Formats: sequence, structure tokens, C-alpha cells
Amino acid sequence: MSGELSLVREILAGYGKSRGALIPVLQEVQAALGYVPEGAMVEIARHLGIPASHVYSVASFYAQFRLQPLGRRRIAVCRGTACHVRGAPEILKELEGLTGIREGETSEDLEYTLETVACIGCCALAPCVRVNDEVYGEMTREKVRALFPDSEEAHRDAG
Amino acid sequence: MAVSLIIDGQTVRAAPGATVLEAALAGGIYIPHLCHHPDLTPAGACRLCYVTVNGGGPVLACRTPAQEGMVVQTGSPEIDEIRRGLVELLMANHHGNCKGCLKSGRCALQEIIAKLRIDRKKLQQLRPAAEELPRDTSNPFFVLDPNKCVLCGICVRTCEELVGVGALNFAGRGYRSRVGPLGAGPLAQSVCESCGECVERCPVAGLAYVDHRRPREHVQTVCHSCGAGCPVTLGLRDGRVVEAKGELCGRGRFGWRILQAPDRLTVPLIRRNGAPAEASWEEALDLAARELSRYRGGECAVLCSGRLTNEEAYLLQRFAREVLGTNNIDSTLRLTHAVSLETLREATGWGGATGPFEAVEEAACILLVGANVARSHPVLARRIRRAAARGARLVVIDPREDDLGRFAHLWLQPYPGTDPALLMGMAVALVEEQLVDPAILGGLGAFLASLEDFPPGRVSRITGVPEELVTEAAKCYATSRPAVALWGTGLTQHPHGGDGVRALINLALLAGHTGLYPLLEEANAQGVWDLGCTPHHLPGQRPVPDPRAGGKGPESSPKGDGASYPGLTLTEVWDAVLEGRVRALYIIGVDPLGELPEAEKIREALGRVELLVYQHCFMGATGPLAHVVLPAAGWFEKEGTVTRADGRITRVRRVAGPAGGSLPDGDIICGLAARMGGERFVPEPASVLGEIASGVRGYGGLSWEGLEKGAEANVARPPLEARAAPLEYRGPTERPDMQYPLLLTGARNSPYGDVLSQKVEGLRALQPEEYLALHHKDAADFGITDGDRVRVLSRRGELTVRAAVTDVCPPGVVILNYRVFPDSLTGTISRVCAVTLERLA
Ligand code: SF4
Ligand code: SF4
Ligand code: SF4
Ligand code: FES
Repeated sequence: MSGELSLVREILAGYGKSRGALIPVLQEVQAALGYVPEGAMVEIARHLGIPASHVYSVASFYAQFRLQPLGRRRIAVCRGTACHVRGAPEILKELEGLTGIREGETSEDLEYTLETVACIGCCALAPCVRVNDEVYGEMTREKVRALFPDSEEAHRDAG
Repeated sequence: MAVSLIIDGQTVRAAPGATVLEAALAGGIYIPHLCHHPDLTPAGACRLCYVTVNGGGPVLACRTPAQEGMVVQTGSPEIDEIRRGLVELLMANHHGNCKGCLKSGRCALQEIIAKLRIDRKKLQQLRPAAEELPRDTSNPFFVLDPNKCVLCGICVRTCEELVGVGALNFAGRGYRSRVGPLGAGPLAQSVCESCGECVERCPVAGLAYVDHRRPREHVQTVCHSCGAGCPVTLGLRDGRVVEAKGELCGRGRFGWRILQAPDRLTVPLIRRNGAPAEASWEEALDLAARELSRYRGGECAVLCSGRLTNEEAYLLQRFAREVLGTNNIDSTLRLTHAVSLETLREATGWGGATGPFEAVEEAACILLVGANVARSHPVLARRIRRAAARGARLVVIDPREDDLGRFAHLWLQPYPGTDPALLMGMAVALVEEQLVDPAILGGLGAFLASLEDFPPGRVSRITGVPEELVTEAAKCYATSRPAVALWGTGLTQHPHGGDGVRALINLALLAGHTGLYPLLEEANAQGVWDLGCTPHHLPGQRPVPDPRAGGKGPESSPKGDGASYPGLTLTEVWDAVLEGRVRALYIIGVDPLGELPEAEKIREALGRVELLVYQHCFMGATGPLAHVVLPAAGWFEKEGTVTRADGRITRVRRVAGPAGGSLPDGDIICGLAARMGGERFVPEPASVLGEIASGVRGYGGLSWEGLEKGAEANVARPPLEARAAPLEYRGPTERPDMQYPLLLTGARNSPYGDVLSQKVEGLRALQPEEYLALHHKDAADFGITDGDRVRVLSRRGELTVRAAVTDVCPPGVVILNYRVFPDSLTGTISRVCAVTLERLA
């Protein structure tokens, strides 16, 4: 954490104390750390002379800012039209069940991050799911479960 | 200039600068609104207040300035349609029904629905069965309920614009938007100070008190919890307080619940066969009077707190001087600001603030030294934040940066205990920068010579503050007009605390400023001091003459003639008891064993003293050792006047009780006096005030009737006549070395660590876990990470605490809450010592 914070301080050193710096600072922090931790928001607030809740307000308003770190396995469910009509919502529900988190969240043990994306570009294989850089097509609930055999939920089902 | 306009055919006069909405409401014309609040800047968020002006299209009344001759229409088919749609949308997101709602009957949404004649049944059908969101019940006094919130933003603006804390804001967007603190965590664990100002203003039950009941009557009094002395209106129902209204902090808003403390003393106790036993007032007073009569003059000592009323303080010192025959009388102010008042008195002729607190908000520069004002005097901190937000320069001198940090123009972090050197360094900078009026400099030879002790390089080395920062701070303070200086116990609670106060006064004089404010903590500390509860001064701050010309030290005065000699201070009394010079103690309103430093010495003294008469609302730690315990009424249970820390005198009123069989302190003092041959001891506050008004310097001309009617009264200060006085550098008594490389000092980590708050369950719950704050560089040196348990070792003692790694204190300085700062670390009442740290596995 303190390593992250010193990075944030370095970034802030490059900006003045004007409120206009808020978005660029958030972007730079996100680029450096992959997300914007709470500690960073407190630090940014202190530097810019604004309440930390204001920084949070802005960061949580824009979808571009991630407020939690990425999990080791970053799962993206395609919600393009093709995928949608061919069952993406069920796939998402299944994944939510498997990982115990909801769309947009990262699990506490930092194992999973679950997201939806506009279109992965493999409409022919709909519905599809991307895990880190690997794309899996023609997903079914069973196939999803097979992808994450070690998830808590899968264990419970097996047992 | 007031303007007149026509609203719905009715001519309305509007105050200058008013909006159309304000003009209409003032003129008794209702325009639906949710996000408007008279104390806040308009937000235009709810869009319910649409009106037409001069026949044009709809505009928001809350953002349209009222102008001469405007013709306003508050409704039209089009506007009604918009409003209906908006209300339906609001209701669609509004969960639960009004039955059983905490705000039912006082809710702006209910009012709108009624006024717009919206069919509730139809609205009910609209309501989707969407999931209810969890309510934030982390605060003991109020809930944040997203299911009821209408996202008007009033709480957000209240917390930012008025309170300056900024705990709440909107988070997320679209249908997921909520108000909440940083990270959407529990409010009680955020920077929220629990002042309730947002709850006061929330139009619906988004924020609501958990146990509110509507009051039937109101009493106007003064908060009991600090020297800011905020006026408070307590609402009562069936003889019980149910609410506190006014601009208040959490202690003021909820502190009256001390009235409900379960462990109040209600019956006098006398020691029988070694154990306290209940007794009647007659028995207890007879016994206390008989026993006290066996001691004379300097054999007795009286100790009190700053929570007596002026009248009680006056009676108490008369009792000490006239009946007991001693000047051995002192208050707890000794431990915090006696040195401030004594130094101010020497320098300016009057020991007290030089102006009203209201002037702080108007200042162009505020110099704040050694005061964690956001914790000690939260409402005053608000004034400071608001001043800074409108452009005043805030210059803070304190080793620890706190939540005022983001409002500060400059923050100087000197090593603890080095403020005198820093302030003298600032004086040097003023002289060098030629910012001192030559007329002021004339005749200051000795002072100017003493400045040579403080060359910039040396000051910087001693304090750890860079030279340029010292100069910049000095320039900022000297060139802004008007400027005020406020200081707290961070400046005074050091062996050379008097030097610090003197150096600050010097700086003000050089800069030609007159605003000087010691931030006294107990609610009537100033009044208790002014009215003579000090061993060196009679009422009106008149010095006790010392017949032993050039007399030395706290020599105990001869038996029977104690009143002609200056007496012992609160810190000297314990040694005097241990040496057998003082044999009887009368202690009022303070629990020395429970709340004062040097507990070991006090315990020994209280065990040794021949007679201990203890008068208090609570048994505390001292009560069980007393021979006679006299149950006293609390602040809200008695009538009188008090002097807040800036010299403003106001009435305190009885709102309830006294609890059980307790009596006001004044009645008890007079009961003892009468039994001991005291003459003219009449407890009625009005008559005591009359006596004060006719003879006490600074309090002349006060009238009970005048104060009753709310007349403003201030202590009459003599005209300020002061000169800068020379100081020589005195090094700190504690220095770090190789073995103990860090300097530990005390600070407050919560507004609720004081003895009064500890008696209120909810406030106690808001007290955070104790921690040791240390800079991340030091943390790295000692291999400590955030949250580790560490052992803090000084040359004399040790303690174990959790570490919090921060950068709010400079490297080399570690900080502990005063409340848990044990004497054993320093061996004295000083709160600075060299330490080392050990990480515990
Ligand atoms: S909690 Fe109350 S004041 Fe705050 S936004 Fe919601 S409705 Fe408005
Ligand atoms: S209680 Fe006071 S500090 Fe807390 S959110 Fe409300 S206004 Fe802000
Ligand atoms: S600032 Fe002091 S006087 Fe005012 S409400 Fe708070 S505790 Fe009471
Ligand atoms: S009161 Fe005007 S927009 Fe809310």
C-alpha cells in the first residue's frame, strides 16, 4: 500500500492544486495502478484541497474509473446483440454465482474480476466470454462451470 | 434594495438578493421544492420549483433572482404536468410507506404530495417491487436510508458549505446514484463528525434521528461541552429533553443525553466503618461542615472545574477565602490555559481573549497554534473553515496536520515543544523584512536584543521548519488585516508554555494585530478564572497581595491567616498534601483521580489526606476515597450565567432535574458556609450576580434581568496596552538520541474523548480505536506496517498500541491521543518525550 501511495504522491507532484486536475490525476493513477484505491483518493483530495468524498463522487460517476483492483482472472462477458440473444444474461448469472461477485466487482481474495463488455468481436461464436486474453465461444452454463472448476460454487455442486 | 414582484397575482416584497422561491415562501406562497434550503447555495437539482416569469417558459424559482416588477405564475398545466411526473419518479424510487417512517408528519415529500393533490393510491400502484437497499445504521443517533433519500443534495451541501467536513457526496450515477461517504462505507467510520447538521436539514427520511420525539416546549441555554459556548435550544417533552437545535457539533447536539446517564449520584454519602453509606443532606452537610471547621487557612485547599456557573465560582472563592481562610483554590484550567491567561494578563492587563469569536470568521488571516480545534471546539473550526473557503489565509502551526489541512494556506510542523523558537523566528522575519511599524519598534531595545537569540538558521534547526516557510508565514500574518491568532494546549502544555504564549503575543504586537484567543476548553473556564477560583487572583483578576515582599514560591501560608497570601495551585496541592501541609480537601466538579494526569501521586495524596469532601454529579474514581460525597446538579440542571472563552456572558438555564436528590453547587456551598459561620451566603443566582456586578472588575453593570431578556454582555476588558517582551531561548527538556530517536507528543483523535462525552453512550461509541500515528519513513525504519501492534518505550515507561502509518506528522515525530497518553512515559504532566518503538509479533 505504501508503495502505491508514494506513486500517487509522485503523480500529484506533477499537478498544481487546482480542482481541474482531478480527472487527469485520476486517469494517471488508474494507468499506473490499474485502479484507484481509496487511499489514493484521500491523498488526491488532500493535495487538491477538496473533500475525499468529492473525489469518490467523481471517480464513481465515470465508468472509466475502476475502484477495485483487478482480479488475477479477469472475466468479461460479451453483451453484444448476438451474445445477448443467445443467452449471455444466463452466462453472466452463472458466473456471478460461481465467483460470488456481481458485475463490475472484484472478489475479496483478488481472484476474479467480473465485467461485461460491449462486443468482443466473435459474434459467430456467441455467446462468448473472455478470461484475461483468452476467448471462449459457444458458452453454456456447463462449459462455464468447467472453465472454473476450482470455484467455491463448483465445489459445492460437486460435493 | 428590496424589490417587489407579483406572484400569482399577489404583490410580494423580496429581500435584496432573494430568489423568486425565497420571495414566494416569505410571502406565504407555496412553491413545491425539495433541494432548496435557506442556508445553502441553490442547486437546482429537484426541478420541482418551476414557475413562469412574465409569461415565458418554465424557469427554476430557486435559481431565478427576484426582480422589480416581475410577474410570476407558480403553476400552469404544463408545469403541473412536469411536477407530477417528477413526483411519480421520486415515489417510484421511494421504498416503504409513510406509516412508521421516522419523518412522517415532518416530511417535505408528504407536503408536496398533499399540496399538489396527487392521488396516493395511484402512486402506490406505480411502485415497483424493487429491492430495498441496506440502511446505514452505523451512527448511534441517526440513520442514512437510501430507500427514502430523494437525492436533493441538501446533506452534501450542508456538510461541505456549512460544516466544511465534506463527509457526504453523491456516488455512482443514474439509478444507482446514492449519497454516502468515501468508498460507500459506514458513515461512522468516515470523516463524519456526527454533528447532525445534515439530519437537521434533510427534507425527508434520508437522514433521520432514530429516536426523535416532537418537543412541546423549549429552553434556551448554552452548550456545556467547550469554551465556544454555542447557544442551544433544548426541546422538551414530558419534562425530558428530546432534541437540541442550533449550530452545534455532535457534543452540543447529543451531549444533553448526559442527563440520562444511569450512574448519577443522587444521595449524599458519608463514610461509615470505611464504606460509603447513604445519608440525608442535613447529616452530610453537618458532618462536612464540622470536619472542615477543624482545619484552618492553608491546611485546606479547594479544587474545582471550569463547569461551575459564574455565581457558583464566586460563592466558592468566597467560601475558600472568607470561611476556610485560604487562597488555596484553583481550577483545572491550571493544566491547560492558566499560563495563557496569566501571560495575557501580564502583557495586556487582562487575562482573556481580546475580542469576540465572531471576529474569527471575518479575519483575513487566521494564525492557529497548537490547537486541534476541529476536535476541541468543532463549531469554531467551522467558522475557520468558512473563513478560509471565502479566501481568508489560514496559517497553522502544529506538528500534526489534521482535517483543517485542506483549508490551510500554510501548515508549519515544528518539533513538539519548539513553538516559542518558531514564533520568535517569525518575529525576526518581520523585523528583517521591515514589516514592523517603526513607531512600534521604538523603545523595544531589550526585545530586539533578545531576537538575536533566534537567527533564522538556528530557528530552522531547532524547529525543523524550513527558513522560507517561517518567513512566508510571518509575512502572511503581518500583511493581512485583520488577523487573529488562536492557540490551544499544544502551545501551553510544555515546560516553557508561558514562553510560547509570550512569543505569540509579541508577534501580534509587532504586526500591529490585536486578535488574541486562547482556546479554553471547559465551558466556563474563563468565568471560573475571572471570578477568583485561582490562588493568585481575587475576583476581577486582582492579584492577591503578597506580604512577603518578593515572597518565594508556593510557601504554605500560616494557619488562620491563609487568605493574605497567594495560595497553592492545583498541581502544587498534591505535594502539599503528601508533606502534611494541606490536610483537608474540598473538591468540586472534577474527578482528579479519574481525569487528571499524575494519577499515582494523586492516589497517594487522596489516601493520605485527613478529610476529603467530594462534590460531583458522578462518583468517578475519587468518590470512593471521600469522607463525604455531595451529589451535585449538572450543567442543564441549574440556573446561572457563564462566560465563554471569548468573554461573552450568557445565561444557562435549568432544563431538567436536578436528578434525584442532587442540589446545585451554589446551594451546597451556601449550606456549608451557613453551618460554618459564613455571612451573606445566599445561593440565588440573581442575587449573587448582583453582588458580582457591583464589585468585580470586568463584570460591572451586568443585570440578571438584562441577560434574561437576551441582552448581549461581554466582559469589559481594560484597553489593550502592551509591549513586546524579551525572551531567551530555552531548549526542550526532552531530546531524542540514538536510543530514543523519536519525539512523541499528544493530540486529540476524536471530539468525543472528553469526560462529558464519555458519559453519553452514543458519543462513547463514536470514539475510534486508539493508535499511534507515525510517518511512513519512520515506519519503514522500524519495520512497522499499518495496523501492527507496537510497544512505545520512553526513558521512563512504556505502552502498547496499534500503529497507524500516515504522513500527517513529520518524520521523527509520533503522536498519541491525549486520552491514552500515560504519565509514566514522561514522568510529568508534559506531553512530549523521546521514545523508541518495537514491533510486536
Ligand atoms: S439524505 Fe436527505 S438531504 Fe441527503 S440527498 Fe437524500 S434526501 Fe437529500
Ligand atoms: S453529521 Fe455533520 S459531519 Fe456528518 S455528514 Fe452530517 S453534516 Fe457532515
Ligand atoms: S463547539 Fe463546543 S460549545 Fe459548540 S456545540 Fe460543540 S462542544 Fe458545544
Ligand atoms: S428547489 Fe428548485 S430545483 Fe429543487
